[in-house]
Amino acid sequence: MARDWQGVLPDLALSLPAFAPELIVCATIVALLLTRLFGMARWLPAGSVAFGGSALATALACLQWGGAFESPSDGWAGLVRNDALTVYVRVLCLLGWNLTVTLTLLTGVPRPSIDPADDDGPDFHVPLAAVALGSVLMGQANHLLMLFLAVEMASVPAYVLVGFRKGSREAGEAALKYLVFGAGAAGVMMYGASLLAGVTGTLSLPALGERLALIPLEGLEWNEPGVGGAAIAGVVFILCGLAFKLSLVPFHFWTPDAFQGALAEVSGFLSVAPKIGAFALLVRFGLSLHGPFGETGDALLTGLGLACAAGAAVSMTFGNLAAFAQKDLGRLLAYSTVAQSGTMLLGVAACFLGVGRGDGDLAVAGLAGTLLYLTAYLFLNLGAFAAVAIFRNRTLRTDVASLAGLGSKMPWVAGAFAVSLVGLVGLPPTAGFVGKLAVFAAALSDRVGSPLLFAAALIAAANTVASLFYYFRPIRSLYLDAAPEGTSGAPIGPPVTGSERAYLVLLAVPVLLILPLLGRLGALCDAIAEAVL
Amino acid sequence: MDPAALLSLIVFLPAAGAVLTACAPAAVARWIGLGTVAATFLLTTAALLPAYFEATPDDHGMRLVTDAEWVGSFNIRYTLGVDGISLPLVVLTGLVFLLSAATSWNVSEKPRAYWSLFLLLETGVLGTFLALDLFLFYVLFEVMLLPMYFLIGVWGGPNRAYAAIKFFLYTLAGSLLLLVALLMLYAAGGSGVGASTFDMRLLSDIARGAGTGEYAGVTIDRGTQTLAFWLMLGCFLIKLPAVPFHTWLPDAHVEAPTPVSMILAGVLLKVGGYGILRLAYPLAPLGAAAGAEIVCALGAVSIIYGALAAMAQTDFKRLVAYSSVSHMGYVLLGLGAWTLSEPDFWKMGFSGAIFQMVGHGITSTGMFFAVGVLYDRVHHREINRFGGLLRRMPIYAALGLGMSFAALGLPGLCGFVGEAVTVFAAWPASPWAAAAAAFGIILTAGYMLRMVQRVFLGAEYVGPLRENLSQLSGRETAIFAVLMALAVALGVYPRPVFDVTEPAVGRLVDTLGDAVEADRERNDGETVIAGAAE
Repeated sequence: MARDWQGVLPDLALSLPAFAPELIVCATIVALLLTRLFGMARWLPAGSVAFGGSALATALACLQWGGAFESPSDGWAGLVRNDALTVYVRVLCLLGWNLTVTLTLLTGVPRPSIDPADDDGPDFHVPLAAVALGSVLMGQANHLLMLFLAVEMASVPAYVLVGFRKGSREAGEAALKYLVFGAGAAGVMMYGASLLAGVTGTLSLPALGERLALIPLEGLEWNEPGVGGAAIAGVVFILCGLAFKLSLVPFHFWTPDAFQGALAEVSGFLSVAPKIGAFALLVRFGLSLHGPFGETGDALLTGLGLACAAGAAVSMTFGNLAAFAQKDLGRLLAYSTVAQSGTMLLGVAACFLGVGRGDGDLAVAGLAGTLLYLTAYLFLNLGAFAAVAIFRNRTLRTDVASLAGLGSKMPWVAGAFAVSLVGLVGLPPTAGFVGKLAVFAAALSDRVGSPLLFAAALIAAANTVASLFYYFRPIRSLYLDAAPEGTSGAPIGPPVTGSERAYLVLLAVPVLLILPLLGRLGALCDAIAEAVL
Repeated sequence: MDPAALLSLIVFLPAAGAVLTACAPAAVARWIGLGTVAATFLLTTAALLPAYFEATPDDHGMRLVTDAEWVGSFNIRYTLGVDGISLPLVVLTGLVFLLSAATSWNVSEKPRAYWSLFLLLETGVLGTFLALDLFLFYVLFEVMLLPMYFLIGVWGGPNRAYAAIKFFLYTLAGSLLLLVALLMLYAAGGSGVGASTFDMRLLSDIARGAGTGEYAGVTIDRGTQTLAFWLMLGCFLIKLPAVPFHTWLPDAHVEAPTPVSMILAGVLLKVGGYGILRLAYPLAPLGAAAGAEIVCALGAVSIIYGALAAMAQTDFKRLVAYSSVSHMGYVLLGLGAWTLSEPDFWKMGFSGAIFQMVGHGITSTGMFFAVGVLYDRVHHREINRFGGLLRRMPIYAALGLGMSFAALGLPGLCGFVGEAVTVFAAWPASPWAAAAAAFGIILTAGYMLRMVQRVFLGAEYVGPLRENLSQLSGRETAIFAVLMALAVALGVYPRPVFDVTEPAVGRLVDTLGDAVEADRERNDGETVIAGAAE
């Protein structure tokens, strides 16, 4: 095929500025790899490099706010889309990365070493940065190939991160499980993408909707041989691959093992950034099915929406039930992640169903709800895992029982942890409530039109009550249970430093003070949703 | 002071006190706490009452309305207001918190946290009674939960962790039912030209098909109203609590420290009754019309079941807790007294229910205080091991006797008025429920008099720690005497409460009647059209 070389330079000129934060991440990765050379690590530790890079990338991403709303554009010859959602995902993921790097500096992970040969810094921070890069790419993929690449970019380094604790059988097993699961999911997703490409003759997401419109609606049956069945299978398989990233039931099995085996800092990051990216990607992929004159695409989209609603209900219920019995904080928060993903998926389901039957209000409300929830979730989950990491450094344990009586011994950390957990339940006045409210409001808005969505929202409400039980077990340990006998007077580990406190406060403040700011934030999420739709 | 800012001050003064207490040194925590609660009490009485009577009500009977933009994208507004239904409960809240704060004076364990949570709780309760925006209502309704969890869980009795989480789980289940209902109504209100709204006044107009302006013609269909009504009723039945949702209450009461029990019984249960009057009925009148009989029946069941359960208790505090279930049944009985043909009885039922809430607020606070006084001294609550307190602690026993009589509904004391009025009102609506409720008064007398006999009368107390049975301190006497004086005053002269409630209740009953009438006419019209078509 002849290549239009004329268009390359203008395309580059347009794509590069928008891509600046990603380039910074890449540069940071290269710089991290270079710190090992020439003894640079002695005066420039990897952690500092990562911190500088992440701060710069986040700042650059923030500077892109206004522009993306005014002039959304395609970049890299249509491989990526640069619009409000892209910038939103970019800011949240890079901010999450920056916060995680800050936490690792505070908690001393990986252990700093003067001997460059023994320093794990670059080995830790390179995959961390790569996951951030993958997550950001997921938020802008506009092409089935890019979809696959972005998901893999976020996954492969994550396998390394999970297995980072050398010599730990737990971590090794978790990484292996994660890898095997991830490879399977990637294969299935790749197959789905190839089916869709075969059916439509295009890999580009914006072209998908138009091409699907060419398939007659009657041909859209499972048992129908030919393109209809292949299109359905393609959509389902891609959903499977994304469900793995979102740790939705039944693709969640890696989550508890990985989050228990990995360091709490890593688990926190993995529970946030790739998830934000994957939700954006799911939305982009789903919306691409809808095209002009696209009855067939809309039918597929409605089906996808219903599948999301059902998947949401199953994920919440299963995640919550499984979390009841957990004794390890990492596992408990892992199952909580499964349940939270389910609740957030409810908003996406509302969005898909709304677009599928031309109800714009429902679509905007659903997508805006999920975006609001994701914003809250970033701070809630990072806060919770940060508290676990700081507790772990003192008690050298991560089980729920190890928290007994710490409420009065480490009041700041305990308070921050409690705030995060209360937020994860979704109680006012925390950020978690706002997210839940927005998602519920969308899902409950049409009882007659979409009964399955309504039912899923009722199940979500019941699940919120159930989740109280396990989210409050750590709180009970912290505040209600007495410290174990004989240790009541003794201090535990080194005292919590001022910077650790400041970090926790930094994460807790947005969670607690969201209500006065809700007007601006809600309007922002609405604007993004409207821009994308 | 700007009268409109008064309500905001009432709601957020305790919250400001909570922040201040948390930052202040532990030694002065109780001073700040008591000071804030006293200031709030003064605001709810000395400032609020004159302002209330001076103000002119708006179209919806609300006075001193504060209204401000809050969250544009969800059309959430910051709206506070007070009317005859909420005013008695706001004053009661201020009073009960003041007395409870006085009872908490000697809390020595983690005083800063205790007083912070205590004050936060007051913000939640007052805000719930004053909010006119459903979102605001819900947020403040939930703000009550967390402080209560910790107050029971940290300062409670031996089984406190269990009781605290049970309370939390039950109430949160109710809250979520409420949330679902509110969001359904929110969406239904936006089905026309106007944006979805959380404004209670607008939504109640829409629910009875009387919306004006851009909401003209918007209605909420019967199915949505029915579902929303049962969801909201479920929430408030848990809060009230009514049988069979009451099982959290005995545990929570028994494990909670005395001042918290006083608040729980005195004020928090009233949120249930208030919610039915303020939300469940006006926002879903069609659902309510169909369900009122069941409300009435549940009231009767609660009265009888609560009384029978109270009879079986040997723990003084558990007995009082079950008596709360029984007494709150009268509230439900009055609220269920829907008599479309006789609006006077209907109004009497609602007014009686509000009066019963106030009366029970006083008697239950007093009874829990009485239990607390004994428990502080002898560290047990076994009714059968007490006796002869009339001789050992004459002032305490006299006040305790008086309070018991007020609780059992002796004429001339405040318990009687609420019970009598609600039973009268329920008669035309549901004679069986009224008869059962009247029988409940006898059962109440049964367990109360048995308790009186075992605790205050009889042979001298020879149980453990008898040397600790000292006279009431001045502080304790003052708390108890205030409650007793109010019990007598409201029993002899209940008029002030009824004067305040009647206009608001009249308005509410009229609008509910209109809603049912309008629906009937609509249905008739449709039948006629359908008939003509045939």
